Amino acid sequence: MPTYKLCYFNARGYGEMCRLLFAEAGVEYEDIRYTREEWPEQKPKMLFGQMPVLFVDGEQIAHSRAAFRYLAREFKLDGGNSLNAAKCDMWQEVEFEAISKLPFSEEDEAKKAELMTSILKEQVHPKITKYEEAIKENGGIYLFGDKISSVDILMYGAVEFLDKFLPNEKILEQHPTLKTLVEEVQKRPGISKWLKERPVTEM
Amino acid sequence: MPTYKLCYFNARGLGEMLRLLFVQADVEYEDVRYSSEEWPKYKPTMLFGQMPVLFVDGEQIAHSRAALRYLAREFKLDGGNSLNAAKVDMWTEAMIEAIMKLPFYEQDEAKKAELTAVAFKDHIHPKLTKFEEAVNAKCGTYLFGNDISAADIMVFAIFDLVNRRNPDEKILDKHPTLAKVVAAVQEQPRIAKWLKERPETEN
Repeated sequence: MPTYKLCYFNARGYGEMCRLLFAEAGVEYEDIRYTREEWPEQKPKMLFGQMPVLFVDGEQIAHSRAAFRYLAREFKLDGGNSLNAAKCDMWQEVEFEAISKLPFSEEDEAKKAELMTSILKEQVHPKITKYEEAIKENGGIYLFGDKISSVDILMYGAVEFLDKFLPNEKILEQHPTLKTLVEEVQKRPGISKWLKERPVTEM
Repeated sequence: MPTYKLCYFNARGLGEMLRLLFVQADVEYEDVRYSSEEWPKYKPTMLFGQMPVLFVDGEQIAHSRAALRYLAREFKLDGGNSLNAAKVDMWTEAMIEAIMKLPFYEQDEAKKAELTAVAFKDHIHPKLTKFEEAVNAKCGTYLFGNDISAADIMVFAIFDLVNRRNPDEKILDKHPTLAKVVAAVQEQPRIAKWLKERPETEN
């Protein structure tokens, strides 16, 4: 087993999806959280001057989604074969692109509200519905039926994020299959322990 | 061997890096190119209404980079082990994020020129320099020394796209190690043949 270290800020943000995989797999890692004051000194050490970075025996995987896919593969959470791993990959990228379009940094409040509504309607909800269709096709709770994969855990993280920052959207009321998935992920022993014990942070 | 079909427009764009993997691996695939007139008819058949889509025995990998990573794995062009595969992944994401900073859709010529300059200075050139450092660290031709991988082919494909649109940037003059990678990829026998024979397209 390699030595793992995850470097990020004291936040869920882009680091939490990797932390959830470690929790699900029950694998130890160093969960480093740099403060804003510490970050300028650490920044030049990171390959692209950004975080999160996953260190694997000292080697840097300096991209959050590449690190996530690597851990999914190592922890056998990538669907059990190469094509399923590609499907996890595809859903992960699609989820990221949809969430990234949400205009959280728009300063004009009226414009922000309008864009938020249209992106939710045109991007986020349809993509969630497609994911639910894929789950139903496999007849189980998770994307691959009864076997949890990294992307189910990622979707839990996405819902957690959307519920926190867009609570009025009530995502799970609109998506019952996703709701069942999220409830199952939360009950996983490693994940439920982590959710109780992890640092509470704003983001 | 599965049956492969790649659906895209008649363009290099985001599809060409996938075609180059088929070419390098000498694996047959159906290279489907829809015209703009045909596209509205086929759009609803694509999982997310977008292309490229890689069909593997009829199943859709409907994201270009997920398809790239899948083919790299299948064709043993992912660096030979899981950690190297993560590095191919990381470099793919880092490079594509950098070129996505280019203002492809900006109509105002002056603003476009300004944004292009910023994209090159702040994102593309620094990332290319980092890639060169990684190549130089292995003292070979490619990212992993003397074994070509999807990362080298992806970098070549991106360079091909960006260089044609921005010849005055003289990318290879500024990046001598990249120039050697590009030359080596271009000279791979099957890739050299493909570059001569492939359809000529504007993008």
